[in-house]
Amino acid sequence: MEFDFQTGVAFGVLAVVLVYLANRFIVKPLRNSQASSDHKCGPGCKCGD
Amino acid sequence: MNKEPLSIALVGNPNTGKSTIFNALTGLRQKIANYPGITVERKVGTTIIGGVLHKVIDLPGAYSLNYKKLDERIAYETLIGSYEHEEVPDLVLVVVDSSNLDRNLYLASQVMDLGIPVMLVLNMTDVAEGKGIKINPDLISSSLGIPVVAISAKNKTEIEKLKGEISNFDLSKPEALKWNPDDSLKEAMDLLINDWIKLHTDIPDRAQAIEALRLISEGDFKDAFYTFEDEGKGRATIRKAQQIIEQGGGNPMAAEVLLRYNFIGESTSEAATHSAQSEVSITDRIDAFVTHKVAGPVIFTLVLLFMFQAIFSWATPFMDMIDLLFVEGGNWVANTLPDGMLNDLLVDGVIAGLGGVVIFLPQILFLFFFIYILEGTGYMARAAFVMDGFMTKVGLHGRSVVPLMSGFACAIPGIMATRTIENWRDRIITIMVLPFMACSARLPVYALMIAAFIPSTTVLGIFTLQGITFFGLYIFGIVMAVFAAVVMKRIFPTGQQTPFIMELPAYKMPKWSVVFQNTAERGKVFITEAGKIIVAISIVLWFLASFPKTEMPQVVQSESTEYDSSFDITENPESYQLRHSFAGRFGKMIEPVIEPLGFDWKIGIGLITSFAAREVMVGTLNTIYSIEEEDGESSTLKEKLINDVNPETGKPVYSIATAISLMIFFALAMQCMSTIAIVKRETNSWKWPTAMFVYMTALAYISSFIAFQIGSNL
Repeated sequence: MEFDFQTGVAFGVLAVVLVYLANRFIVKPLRNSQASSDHKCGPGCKCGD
Repeated sequence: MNKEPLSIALVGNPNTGKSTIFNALTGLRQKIANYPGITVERKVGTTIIGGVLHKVIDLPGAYSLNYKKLDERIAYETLIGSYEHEEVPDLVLVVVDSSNLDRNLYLASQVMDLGIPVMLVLNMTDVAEGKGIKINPDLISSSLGIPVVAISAKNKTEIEKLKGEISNFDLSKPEALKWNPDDSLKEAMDLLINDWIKLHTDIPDRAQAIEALRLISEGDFKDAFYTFEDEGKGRATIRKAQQIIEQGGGNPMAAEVLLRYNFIGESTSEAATHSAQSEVSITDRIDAFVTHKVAGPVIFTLVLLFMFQAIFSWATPFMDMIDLLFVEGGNWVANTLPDGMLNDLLVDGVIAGLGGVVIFLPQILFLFFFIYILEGTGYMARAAFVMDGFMTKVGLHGRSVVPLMSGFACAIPGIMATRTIENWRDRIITIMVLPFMACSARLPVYALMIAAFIPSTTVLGIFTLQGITFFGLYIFGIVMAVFAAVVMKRIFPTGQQTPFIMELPAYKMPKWSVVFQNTAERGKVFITEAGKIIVAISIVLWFLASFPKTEMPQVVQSESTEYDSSFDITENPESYQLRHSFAGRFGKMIEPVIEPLGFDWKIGIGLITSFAAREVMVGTLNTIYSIEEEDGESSTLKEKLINDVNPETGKPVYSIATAISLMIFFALAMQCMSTIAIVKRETNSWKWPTAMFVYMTALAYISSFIAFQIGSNL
């Protein structure tokens, strides 16, 4: 396979897309599940989903 | 005149025109986002009054501060100052529907008790006058002790009047508890405030009375969102407070309601007068027919049938146009860019993948256009009412109707909406059956299969077989949801059901600007949200379908090719490359599992990628078929599917049986990652989403198998 300019750009696009998909389907959901609501609790109260 | 910037909150019952006032005040200066961690919309904007920039917050609609729903809880907690990032408003505009004054004033009287400056906005005065109700705002103002302004939000000059009132508003706080709780209620409130609220919460002093009343009427915390370490003590205190009221001869659940309504009745007895002219309104006359126990379901069915027929027929010319645009666009890019990998990626990956989905934009727009018209006219509430009788018969709760109907758009808001169902088992069953409702993401797959394989024969003069099939698939989803609910009810029997009460708003012409704006918003979400994923997956898929590069063996060499025993001399090099690519090999690997359903390996790849979003299926097929296409060829996906031939058997890949089997699979299978994630979040367990995935996929597999085997042997 020849590695010319077009091939370089195409693989560059693939890299960007893979980062986007990893962020969308792995990183973001993980972060969301860890994020807690900003409900302010009183003494003796614990928050959570 | 107020020279300081204020934070102004809009509060009111649903359907009081609160959002219309918000839009009129803020214009384009508004931002819509979700409250942190939940999907309730938080609308914030700004308005300039007398040269001062004020912040305006449109709080979710609520009937009462004794919240039953998540929306109401958000309104309540914002007003009592429970959110770190949301300041307590300087001024609350309580928007009330003048044609339904007493019920709307219930919330207003609760907000007044919070000790925040309040202005009462009597909206829909024109509707009230139409009903023969005359209201004297000055009298209401003097009896409630707060400023009152009467407007019709549709009228721009009246919005200016409201702005003037805000500008001149004296930010004095209303007198709390103007409605005088009786001795036993007062004693019960004091007990709860001193023994529980002050010690265990950080609710500010001004809101402690309203929290005490909420706990007394609820009898429990009834809050799935946070728990207290010393809950046992809290419950005992609430019970003690309730006993005080019972000893005084009252009913703890109704004490506050009765006293408040007495106060409201006294306040409005002279201020609002009813003339006898409108005993039976137009709405009542229409409802007598539309909500009739026999005519109602028939009308509902006809409305749906018409809607789906129209979606299918009216969208076709626009779809053909978009299809042509993408085919020609692809050709132009292919001929303009020099040959190479980027050229192939753009044409066969990006343009083909995106084109396969954008083509369904007209149908999505028509679907939501009709849904918003039905909502805007007030018919949607009637549909829920009509379906309630049926739902109750099959064992579901009336409150399940609205979430299930939301599922027509997308399962995710539907699943969120099940929070209004108080009984946990009813809620779980509704969540578990909700993904059967045909969401808009299934539409592209249905539309493609129907357009390609179902004849457009006219039926009964106005309908087509294609439209009826389309409608049938939606009904099929409802029937399967009901069937699954009936089975689950037997597995998890529930106790006594609570009655379903819902408000039927008066019929009115939909506000066209709102209909068009919301429809456009849905279209934008479809293109930007689904589109991004589709393009991304199409690009990855293009790589997987293009590598490793495999040279097609010459005919002479084929005899010695051990690797590919099915090598066919009539096969084109593109097709050969695809079969030997990573995607092709994976598809071939799973093919034996899906072959009994009539699916080949290309559909198999589509089934896997569509797990990211169902509509990705169409983009995937378009990408695969574009890669396989010989250079210089250009045809639509529909034509490619019709003409696709299995090189091993020489028979067409798709038959009517395959199309029906595929549509049934899509109707029943749990193929949506986002739905699984939201079910996990709502149930706080992996047990339910796993069970959902297993039973829906098994049901889809068995049903498609039966459909294909019967269909192909006919």
